[in-house]
Amino acid sequence: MHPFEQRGLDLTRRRFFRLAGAGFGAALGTTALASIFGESARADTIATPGPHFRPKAKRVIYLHMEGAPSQIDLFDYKPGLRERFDEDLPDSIRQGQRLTGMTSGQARFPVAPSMFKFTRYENNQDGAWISELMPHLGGVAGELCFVHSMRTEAINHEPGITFFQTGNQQPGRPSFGSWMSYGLGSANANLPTFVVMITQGLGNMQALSARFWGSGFLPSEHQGCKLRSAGDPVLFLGDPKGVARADRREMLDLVGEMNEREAERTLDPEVRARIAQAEMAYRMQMSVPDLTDVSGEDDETIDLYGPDARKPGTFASSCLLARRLAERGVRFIQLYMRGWDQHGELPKEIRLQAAAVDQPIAGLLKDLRRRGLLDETLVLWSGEFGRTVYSQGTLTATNYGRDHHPRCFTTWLAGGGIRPGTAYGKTDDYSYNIVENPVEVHDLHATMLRLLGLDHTKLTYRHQGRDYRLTDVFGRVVPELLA
Amino acid sequence: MALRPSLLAAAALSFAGALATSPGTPEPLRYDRDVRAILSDRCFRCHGPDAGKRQAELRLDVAESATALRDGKWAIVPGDPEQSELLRRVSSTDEDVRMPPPKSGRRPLSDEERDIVRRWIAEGARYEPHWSFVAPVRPPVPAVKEAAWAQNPVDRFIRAKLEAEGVAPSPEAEPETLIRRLFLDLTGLPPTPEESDAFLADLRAPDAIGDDVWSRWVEKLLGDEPYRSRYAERMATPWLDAARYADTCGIHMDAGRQMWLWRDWVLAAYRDGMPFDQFLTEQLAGDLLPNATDAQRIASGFNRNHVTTDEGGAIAEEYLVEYAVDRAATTASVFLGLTMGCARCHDHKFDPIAQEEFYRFYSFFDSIEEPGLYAQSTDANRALEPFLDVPRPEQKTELDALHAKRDAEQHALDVPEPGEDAARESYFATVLADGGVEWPETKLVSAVSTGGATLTTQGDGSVLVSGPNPDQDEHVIALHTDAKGLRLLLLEALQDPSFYDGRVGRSDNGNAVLSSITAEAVSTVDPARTTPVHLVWAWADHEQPDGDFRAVNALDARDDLGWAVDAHRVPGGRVALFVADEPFGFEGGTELRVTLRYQSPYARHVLGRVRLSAGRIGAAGLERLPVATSAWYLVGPFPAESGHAAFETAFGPELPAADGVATRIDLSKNFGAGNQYWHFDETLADDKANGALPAGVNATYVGRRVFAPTARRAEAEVGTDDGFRLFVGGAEVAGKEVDRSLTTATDPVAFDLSTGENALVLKDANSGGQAGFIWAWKHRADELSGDLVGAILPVSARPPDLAARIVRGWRTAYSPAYRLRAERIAKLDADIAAVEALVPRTMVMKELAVPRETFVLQRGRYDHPDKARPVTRGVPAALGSLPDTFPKDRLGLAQWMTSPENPLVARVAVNRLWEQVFGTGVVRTSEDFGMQGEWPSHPELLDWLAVEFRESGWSVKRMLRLLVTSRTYRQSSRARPDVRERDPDDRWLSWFPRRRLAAEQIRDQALYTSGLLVESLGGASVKPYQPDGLWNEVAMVQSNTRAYVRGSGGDLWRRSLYTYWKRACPPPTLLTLDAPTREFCTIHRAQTNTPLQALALWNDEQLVEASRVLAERTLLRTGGDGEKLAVLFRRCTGRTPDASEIARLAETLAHFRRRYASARGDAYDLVRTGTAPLADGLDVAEVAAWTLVAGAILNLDESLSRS
Repeated sequence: MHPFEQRGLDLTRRRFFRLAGAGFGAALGTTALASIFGESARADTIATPGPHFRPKAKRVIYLHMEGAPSQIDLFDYKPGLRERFDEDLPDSIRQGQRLTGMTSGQARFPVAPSMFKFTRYENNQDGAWISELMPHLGGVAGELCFVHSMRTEAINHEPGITFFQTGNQQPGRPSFGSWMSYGLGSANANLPTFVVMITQGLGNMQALSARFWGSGFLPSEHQGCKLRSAGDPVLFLGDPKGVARADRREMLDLVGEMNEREAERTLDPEVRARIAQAEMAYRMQMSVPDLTDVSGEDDETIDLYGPDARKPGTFASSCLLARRLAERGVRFIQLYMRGWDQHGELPKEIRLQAAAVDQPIAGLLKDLRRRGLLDETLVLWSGEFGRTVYSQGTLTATNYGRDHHPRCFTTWLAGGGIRPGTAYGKTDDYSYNIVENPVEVHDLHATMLRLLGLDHTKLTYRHQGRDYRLTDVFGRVVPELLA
Repeated sequence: MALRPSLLAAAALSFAGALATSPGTPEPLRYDRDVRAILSDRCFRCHGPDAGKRQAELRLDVAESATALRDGKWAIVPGDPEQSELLRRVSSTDEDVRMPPPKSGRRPLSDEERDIVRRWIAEGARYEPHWSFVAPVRPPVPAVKEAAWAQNPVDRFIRAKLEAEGVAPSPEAEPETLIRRLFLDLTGLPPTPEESDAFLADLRAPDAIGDDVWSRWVEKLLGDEPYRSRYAERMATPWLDAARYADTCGIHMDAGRQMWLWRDWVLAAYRDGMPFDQFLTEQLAGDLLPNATDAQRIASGFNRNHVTTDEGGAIAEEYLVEYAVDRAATTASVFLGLTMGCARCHDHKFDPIAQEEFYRFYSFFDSIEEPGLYAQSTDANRALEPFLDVPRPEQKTELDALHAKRDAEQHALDVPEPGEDAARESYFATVLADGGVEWPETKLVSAVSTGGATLTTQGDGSVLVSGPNPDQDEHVIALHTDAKGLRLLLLEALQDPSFYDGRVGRSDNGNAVLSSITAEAVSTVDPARTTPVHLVWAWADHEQPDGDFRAVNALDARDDLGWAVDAHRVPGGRVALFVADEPFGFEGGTELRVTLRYQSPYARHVLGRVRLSAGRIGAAGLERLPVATSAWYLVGPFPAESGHAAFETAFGPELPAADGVATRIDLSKNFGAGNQYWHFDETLADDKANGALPAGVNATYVGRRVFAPTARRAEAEVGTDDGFRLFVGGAEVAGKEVDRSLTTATDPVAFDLSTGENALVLKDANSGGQAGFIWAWKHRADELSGDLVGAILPVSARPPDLAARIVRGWRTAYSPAYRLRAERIAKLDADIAAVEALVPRTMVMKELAVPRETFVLQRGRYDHPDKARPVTRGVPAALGSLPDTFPKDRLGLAQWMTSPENPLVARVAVNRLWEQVFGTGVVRTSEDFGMQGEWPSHPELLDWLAVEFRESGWSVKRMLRLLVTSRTYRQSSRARPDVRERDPDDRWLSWFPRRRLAAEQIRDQALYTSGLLVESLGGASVKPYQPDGLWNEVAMVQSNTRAYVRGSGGDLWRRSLYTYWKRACPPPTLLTLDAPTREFCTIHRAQTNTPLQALALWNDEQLVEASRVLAERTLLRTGGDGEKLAVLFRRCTGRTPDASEIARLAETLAHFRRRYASARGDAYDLVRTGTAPLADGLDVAEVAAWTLVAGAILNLDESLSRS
């Protein structure tokens, strides 16, 4: 063994991260370090701060509904509101809380009950009420753990999504997936640890930003890798036209040999790390197309997700890829469905959005279940906040809009150590305030980390003299959500 | 090696603190270096500076508290560890006693750490102030044994440490390695083989002295063009990271904004060797300098580089706080090396910065003339207010000339023609008489507010509003008149001293929005007889321009639209005129009840003093009134398969509104997925080329509401790019399918309007490229267009500015000489505007006239100011104070920062230079010099450099010269396994730290070695190659940075620091290679090593193109393969390859030659990557084979690194 490699093994975990964090010349990425250690060392805790506990889940599939879906029209069943159509939202409920600049000037806040029918589906408690917009999801109600009492601090999309992804409303912190990549390392040598897919929505789309899957102050190897539906699935994956795979191998052999000499000449361990990374890139050129080629999926599987599953870029196809990524050990798989920002014409737009995600999500859960993957895969479905019970703009029996509502909304989790077929938390009769068991975004993060075997207070990274966490100085594990 | 005892002794004396002395007598511990880090990490959270979290009243960061008696115990008894409670607690195994407590999550002290604390207490527990908070004093330069080795004082400090550790420095690196190192470090680009040869030749010259040759090359790179400009470009890049410079806003729309003039200021500052104190002062406070120059004001944009929001629902106050926090935190990080942002929510946990002190510092930055929430704009080149126009010299000359011409025309225009006044008076008299305009007396009867405001009738017939000012209100005003046949209703909004600044509105800024006006006539004789008065036409003397706030919006009952009077911007009275569709007034007298509704989203925007009157107008008079219109709205684009399909397909907006009322434009209707609503567009106007409709094959609709005082035939002229169809009231009245560009209004159209509201929709069908339209009404000869409507108002009702405008209106209509001049002026104005649109502009700092009051924000929340804790501007007490003689503003702050008493600024700045050259700072945590920061590897060196920097006039070039001429810098970069055991991170610098190039340098090197690089200092940002669709995937549909339009020609090959930086989607290859997103201040970049980097380096189009052009360049040389390979290799790595390396390269070359000779199609595909033209006369298979070899060489670790 080369003396440097020997020394690499002697690095303590603490020192290693100090090196990586300080951006020191010979900074070693975790993957780089893993390469130095050889494949067998990958699972070794040397490379990562975690896990701290025995993990229940090995990975996360995070379905982010960008734009914030209406909890009132999907999952937070309020039959009593029918009687209150067009009544003014009582001040006792509204409590003078801040509103966005879009409705703060509204003369009235007329109650807009959901126009959609709800159905009761059996679960492990007293049943789950799910709107007619999500019939397929109703079929898997026994897997879902609803949290009806989510709340957030942000009132607008940018800070709201930033908060959900990074635990802070302002740009600058690492995203959840980056924390996980840092905390647990990779479980697949040929694919990125953190993969993001985006589906263009059918309604009012808000902006996404690279920061939502950025690594903030963590080394950039932890940033999310966007899997694209057009062009190269991973940026720059494909060789230029006229370059065949054998050519790349030939070139890599040349570079590898020359670099090996350079390593001997300089005694710089980074050189060998770079050789290893190039080899991994070469393997990725195979493994990613293999991942995205769904032609081998049988009809039974496609039927689970619906006909769009073979159409690249659709949410159904992303869900199918999410399963394929999960199978391959990718740690954090994040799907963004854009277009839930329904300030006006909500009934029409939410129908389209819900139809695009309902069957694919249910299909994903069933597919994971039948392949034995659901128990080790933590699935989260959420928007960045909820929507108001009062109508923004015109209210008629069949048309209304809803503004942003951070005070309460519904998310659900499934799989990976989550208590299935349950609901947690309650909102008032207007789905406006939480009356029972509020769950903060930091609590959700802490709980999810717990299931992944990470103690949210111990998953820290020192930056500018302070130990940062995903949960900042907040967060508590919500034991009621755990199986 | 023979030691010289005298020198060794001297070194020991001057280095008592830092040198390890002989074994057996351990050097005394220092609190600052050895102890504080332990206490800070484990104890200060609860026993430190943060008063809010402090437990048991105990502070371990100050001696007085730590050594005080409490509950019969002392935390620390100096000299007596056994009596010290601190030691007992950190040593205890009892979980209830042990510190830090298990639930704190902090680790217990290790044995080693405990031993340090014990020893320190035993040695007397001497506290020291934190080293970086004490102003540096120049320490003596240490003597070293090998004095001849030391080239300058830097070497003596480094060598002294090495000698103390018993380590010899590394030998000097090879000359070829050295010159590449120097070129990359100072200019960011490698030397060409010719430059390397010149350097080698200089060294080999008969009487050459190596050190002198080296110094000459250093001078050349710092001082001579083109190196000097390259040096500026190299130095600017880390500064742009620190200053979070980018080309977009970062949030929501992530809209484009112009800041590159600031970036160019940075470039010029580095190129011209601006002293650092000036560099600091102008960036912090350039706008506050006496007689600030444009350049100084541009520099102040440093603190405008932060992200900003234009998200519709955002709360302005919240973002004003975020902007000021960012400025304070960035300023503290960049110049003071302090993480001051930590004290936003509570006292700093580790550093002596109280929360209140944070807000004192913050208040330097929170009084800027800026909105918290920026308006969305389609102009990707705009600069966010406050900004500065900076015309280029030729633009300035042109503008001066245009203004001079305009002034002369204006002067001539202001002089009336002979006889003009009389002609005008006679015209007005005729208008009134022929038009049947009369204003019979009306009497104010009563006035009530339904919202609870107090309405008082005034002697002048007006109604004054006072008392409560509800968010929304409704005023019902009753008039009595004996007249009949009334058609006109006049509303005068009067000024009153009881309103803000004596304006007409009661809102906080004096503005008002009338959401609707309705009226009813009641017979005095028989109050049961009432008739509604339908108002169908409106005109006002002022209408707020930044939304659809026109007076016609008050005609209907809708509350979301209204007439906004623009009084927050323009003072003075207001007047509005309304026309009813039928005459009103009963025999025997009429009570006219007028309801003014203020129900718009703009709370409390009430007209505070209104006078109403009613008048008559005859049929002829009505005919002379022009049509009134709403603003233009836009919906679209609706993409189509072809221009014809765009023309043919009805996408919806042309159809009558759903409620069947054909006269409406339905603003609440969504015409398709993707949020297709009619929306106001303030750029659209009549009589001008609206040339920025969405590009592409599509249809876009513009529409407006048109109000006719009488049913009539209207005429207009239309021009479109390309075809158009015109719909009035849901029926098509004109159209033309044509392919053309927008020039003038060419197509006459005529159509019938009903009395009152009509919907007018113009569909613009575009077959590609930009779309646009022009709309020009054709006015009838006797029409009272524009301000001339004012001529029918009673003279007493005309505000002064309106009176003047009426005169102008008349002169425009009836004096040909005047009209000619006015047209010339309009043309000049257009010329001026056209030049101004191209004038570069940039965002700057600008203080509010009256600074905001600053309070401590509880938990840092914008909406929780602690009114009991107002703060004044100041700096944290631990760092000193602002002398009374300094102004209490950013300028004073800059003066304080650059004063000799400042402990941090010079240290932080030289440390960053050190980091740039040696990879790691003397203080490794270059962004944190606080208590959690790391102890310097060479404390005396840092202080020496800091003092040298300041005393030598803050010269950056001088400091760099010092570093790169040192022997330390010239060492070999071969790592040393023997030393590495003891100094794993090479902090002693016993070898030169090898380092991968920064992202920008990697791309620049590829462009430069291939000869593609287009060098030109500064200018607007450019858009080189980027994979398709990246911006689209993340941007909002409405964002003006949604489509990435690749530049052409030279824009593709500029240095990377000129690449357009969209924060939500930064340039992908640069980001992959560890460039930050520029959303916040980044002092140093982490360096990582990932497979995605390899993929980008292999396959990014611009790098493949560079390989190809590099291959061609190589092939065009004379010589054999070996020679060519050697030059190619040397161009990229700086090193001449040996024979075995050339053989290995040749082997691969031969392989690819065979491959492409038999697959010429593949060769063609490969060489056609990129847009750079193919070199003439080369065989494609040969180029393809060499392209892959060149690409491999560019990908060598040796090329990607600086050895």
